Amino acid sequence: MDIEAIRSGKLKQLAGADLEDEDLSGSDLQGINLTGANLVGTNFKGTTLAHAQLDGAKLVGACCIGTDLRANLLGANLMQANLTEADLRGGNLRGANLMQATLTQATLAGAFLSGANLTGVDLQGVDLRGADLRGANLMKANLHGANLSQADLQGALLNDANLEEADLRDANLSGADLMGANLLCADLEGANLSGVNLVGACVVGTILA
Amino acid sequence: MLEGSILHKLATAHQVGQAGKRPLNFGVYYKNTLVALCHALEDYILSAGSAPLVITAFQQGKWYLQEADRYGDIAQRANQIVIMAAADGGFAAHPTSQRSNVALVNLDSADPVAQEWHLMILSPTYAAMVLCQELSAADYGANGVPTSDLERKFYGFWTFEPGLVQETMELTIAHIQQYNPVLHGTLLTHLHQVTQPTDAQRDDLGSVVSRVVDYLQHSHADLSHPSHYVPTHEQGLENNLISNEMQAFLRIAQIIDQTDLSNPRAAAEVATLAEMMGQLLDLPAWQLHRLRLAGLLHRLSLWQTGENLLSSGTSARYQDAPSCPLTCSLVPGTQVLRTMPQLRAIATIVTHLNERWDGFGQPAGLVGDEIPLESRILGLIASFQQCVVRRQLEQDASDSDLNESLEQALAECRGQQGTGPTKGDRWDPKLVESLALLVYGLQQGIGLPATSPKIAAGMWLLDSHSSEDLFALLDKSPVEAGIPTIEAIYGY
Repeated sequence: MDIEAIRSGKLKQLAGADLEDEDLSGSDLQGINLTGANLVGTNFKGTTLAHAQLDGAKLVGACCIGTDLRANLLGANLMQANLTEADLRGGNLRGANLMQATLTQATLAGAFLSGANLTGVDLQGVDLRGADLRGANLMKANLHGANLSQADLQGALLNDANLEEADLRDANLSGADLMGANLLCADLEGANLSGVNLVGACVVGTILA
Repeated sequence: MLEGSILHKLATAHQVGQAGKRPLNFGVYYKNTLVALCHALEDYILSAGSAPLVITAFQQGKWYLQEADRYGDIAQRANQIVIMAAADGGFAAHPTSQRSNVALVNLDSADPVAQEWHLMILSPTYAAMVLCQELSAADYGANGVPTSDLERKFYGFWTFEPGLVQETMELTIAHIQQYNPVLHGTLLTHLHQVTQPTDAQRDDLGSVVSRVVDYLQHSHADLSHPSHYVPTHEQGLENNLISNEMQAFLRIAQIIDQTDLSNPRAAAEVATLAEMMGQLLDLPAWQLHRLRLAGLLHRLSLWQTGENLLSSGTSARYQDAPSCPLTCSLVPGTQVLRTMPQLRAIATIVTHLNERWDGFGQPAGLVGDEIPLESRILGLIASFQQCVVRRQLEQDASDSDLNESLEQALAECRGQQGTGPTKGDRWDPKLVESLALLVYGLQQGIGLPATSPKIAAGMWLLDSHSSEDLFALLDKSPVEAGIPTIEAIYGY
């Protein structure tokens, strides 16, 4: 594979390509087509992948630190990927697998994460404003101090999730499962709580109006 | 929340929908955070301008005894001190307890107040309060009650708002009546005295905040000490300390807004508008967060200068300001931000928001692109927001007149641009173009959005870019520095 041609932006149609462990850091790959590509362990540090097609791509263990990933990641496998300070605003991550991914200071505002697997993921202090998390699996996820205002969490699984000090103002939690969740000092002002399961949840200092 | 506790009573009075009351915004505090916070607020009494009434709740007498010597010093500067705690051996015998202006209230161990940690300080020139309650065994959840004292958790809030301190003191004094009716009467008299209107200048909140940040940082340094090292919870403790350092600044911003009755939502509105402008310019996420945080704190730039934001119209002036940006540090309000290294970039942005595009601004006379992009955006947006609010006030406007006020404010910003070849622009001309787009969007029904900041949970706004040295980055090429230039944004 001609990596230099990819890095320079000459090669853009790379659906199904095998770029495992390649170094594409710091490149401008806007609009590139990497549908279904093998990107296991690929280095995208500081790379621009805005508007890229990455649906169904395998990004297991990929390095996406500070990467602009405002892209189509429908059903992508991002297991163990390092997404520290990645920009995923408005990205399409429907059905994506993010288990064991690192998302420290990533931005997921307005991202489409319905049906995504975020089980046990550390999302402490992550910007998830207005994100679509319908039916997402957030069991045991750490959402301490995360901003989930106006997020759509309809039917999301939040069992045993840590939502301490989370901002859930105007979020839609209808039908969400919060059994055993920690909502200590979370703010749910204006949130839709119809049909929410709060059995065993800690709601001390929580604003529930 | 324990029914009958002071926190519960106050929260009930401030429930959503209660007329004239803002809902309380609770946060979580580790014990070591509370210790650092309370020590800072208490020690400030020693240098405060007037003698306060101090009411405290220590849970158990043994916790008070750990502080009793310090309280001896504080008592020399205080009008009256009240110590509430469940009685312990030696509690009353300490010399501080014997002082004439120190009163002890032996709480019944069944009294919910015996589970609370309170510090209320109110004088004519200084107000501060920490109001917390410890988690119950059930609240700690599956992990159970922590074995280390450091990991004990509390929830509640702290504040510099005199009105809230007074309200809480009234509730507490009423609670004390059942224990000691005479003390109840004495405290009412003291409270009346310290709440009398005065011409005395309020104590410098900046010094208080510097002290708070300093004490929290010391507590942070102690965490890495082997004897205090708690690996499993270290990150949580560390974040809790940093979060509270940031809260100290956000609380000053809150006070500044509250005291400006004509523009009480400036911080929230400017932060939201600046972020919207950043989105229009397609700035990266970290830069939007930086803009938002700088927006929330932007009024610190005019703080302590005695200038009224609305009447000044333009900017603060510092005649002796140096021309070199690296040594430019004479904006007093922003100086205090520099005590927190994580906010270095924010301090720089706020310091330079009164620069002018033509180089005739303050404090450093930076020209054009030398001015950090966020300072340019924030300066323009802050001026625009003040203008909209002023127009609204002048017209006694209803919502239907908002469009007109937006239009007039935009025209005013455009009017500050120079004409002809010599120009003399106040603002970056391309940003004024973007503002026009933003105004168009607002007029199409977006409205003036402003969610009030959740002060206890601002950590999502901090990342590695908040601590950057913006002027060191200016020496690099924009690509190296990771900064999009306006030219790149606009494609020329």
